[in-house]
Amino acid sequence: MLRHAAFTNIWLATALVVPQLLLVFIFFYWPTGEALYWAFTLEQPFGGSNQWVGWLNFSTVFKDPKYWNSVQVSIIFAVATTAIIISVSLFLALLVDRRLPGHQIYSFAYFIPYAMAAPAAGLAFRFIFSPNAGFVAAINDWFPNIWNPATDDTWLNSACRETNRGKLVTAPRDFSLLCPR
Amino acid sequence: MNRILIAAASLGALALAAAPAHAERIKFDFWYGNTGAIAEVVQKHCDLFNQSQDKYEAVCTGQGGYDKAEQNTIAAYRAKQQPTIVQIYDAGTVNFMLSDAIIPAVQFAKDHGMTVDWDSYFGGIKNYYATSKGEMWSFPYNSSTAMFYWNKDAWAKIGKTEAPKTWNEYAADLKAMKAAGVSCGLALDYDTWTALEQFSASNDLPIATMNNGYDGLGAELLFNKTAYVDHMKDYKSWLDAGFAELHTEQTGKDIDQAFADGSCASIFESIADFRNFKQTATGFNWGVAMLPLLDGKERKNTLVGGASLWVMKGKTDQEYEAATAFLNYVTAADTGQKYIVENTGYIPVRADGLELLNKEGFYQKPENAGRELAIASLTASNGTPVTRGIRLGNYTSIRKALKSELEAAFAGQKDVQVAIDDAVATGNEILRRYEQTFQGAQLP
Repeated sequence: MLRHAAFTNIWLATALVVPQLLLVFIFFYWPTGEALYWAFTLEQPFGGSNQWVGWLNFSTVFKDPKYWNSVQVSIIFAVATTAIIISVSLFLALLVDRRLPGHQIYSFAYFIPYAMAAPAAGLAFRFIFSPNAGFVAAINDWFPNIWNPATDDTWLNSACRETNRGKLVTAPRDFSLLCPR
Repeated sequence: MNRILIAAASLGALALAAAPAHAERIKFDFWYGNTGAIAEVVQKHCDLFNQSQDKYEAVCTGQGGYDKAEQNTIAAYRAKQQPTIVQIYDAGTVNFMLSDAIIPAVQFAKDHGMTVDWDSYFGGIKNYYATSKGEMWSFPYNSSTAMFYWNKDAWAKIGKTEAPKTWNEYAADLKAMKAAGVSCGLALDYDTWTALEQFSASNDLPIATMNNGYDGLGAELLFNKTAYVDHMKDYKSWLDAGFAELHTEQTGKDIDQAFADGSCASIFESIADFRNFKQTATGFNWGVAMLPLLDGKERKNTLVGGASLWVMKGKTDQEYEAATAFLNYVTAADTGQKYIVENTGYIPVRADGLELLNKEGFYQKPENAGRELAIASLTASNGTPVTRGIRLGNYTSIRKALKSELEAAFAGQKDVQVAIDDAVATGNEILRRYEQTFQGAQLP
């Protein structure tokens, strides 16, 4: 059965709760309110003037093809990520659960990324994919200029996808060092 | 316990006794945006100022980049923590002019008894930091402009000893060099400062309406209708023909490194990098020249790059007194301009600085050969309506938009004209938004 609160002194209870409420207000409700207000205004960088522009900021964003492109990319990314993660994870879980051949390799591979710091992994892949010095650059000796992520978008994307895949299947990590700024 | 107390008390007494010797110095804050080797030069400039007298003390803080210096100053101003003087790059000029947060240089000099001969600033530098009425609102500090860096050994392979004067001659040189076995004639990135701004200025081409924005915030971008488009088509064709190569950080080396290690025979780069190349590009003979011109064009002045010093509002009279001494020190011919020129690749900003350097034979020294051409390029004309500078709101974002369109065009995903049209459309949106943000404000 539920009992009544242990605090009989309302002031003590308030004193204990107030800091938390203040924190929530200062770091959540206040900035959220400010952000909402700014969403409907245009403000000069140095302050001094802040004019109400209604829905203008929203219509600017919704008219911007770059915004819709990013929405599209986000959807593709979300769907593909989920599909790949779930199916691969299920398959690997099955291997482990049933002690099927290969489960030891998987168990081992799973922990490799944890043993390496994310920036180190990023730098390593940056080196591996570098068209001048990296391992992949060797194919430029056989097929000149076939690998150049900076000029050839396809390569760049595949390189980023490749590193992202490591992130998706194994552990959350940031390979963004490799991908173009 | 007692011993600790006594120790603490005597330490405190020591601190008190030592304090008066320093307390007399009036401190003020100076923020700068330079990084790396140049930041060290700026920091040392502060030290030299502090050692030169015992009344004032400049507290100098690097902000880790030009854009950060601007952002931090804006944030600091809103929190009423702004520095007295801040170094702001060329592209931030319009923001500061409209900010109502600064004291215009002409005003500050008048109020604090600084004697400045404003007309002795070189035209190309003066106009950039001046209002449409010609009043300078900031003090130029480190000024540069774009130059053509060329590998003389590579040009020797096609029997030439002089840098190309026109773009057509340059294109022919690139072709000839390729045939003569030079694998890369030109290292390119997606930079717009040299390819759009300096190219347009030297050929007297507009970048935007209303005299590149000097006449008001209603300006619209024009560079999709000028010879700039053909210039970018040339770049694309040189890339396709293998005369030029793209070099960015992502490809492993940037254009500076590609030039310095001899793998590409020429680049367009700021004169500020001249001294770096003296140290890095040692394996071959190289020189600098003014940018090539379009056929039949008369050379006009190129635009100034680098940064200038702005005085912020809302500081004490004492701080302004100290700032006056500092500004006098860092702009003077000997303690200011000469120091900057000798320790970096920048150029003197005023006639008195150039005079002093000439008197000392600075530009006659073999290691400085060619650096005087940057001054010649900046002063090639007195500023036509479109070579005074670029006064466009949020210009950094416009540069970025053009850059990403050029990436698509050079990668062959987009026609060059279409890409530049798209960049102009995006840029005009940025300008309209800026205009609306400053509704009712007048450009000085």
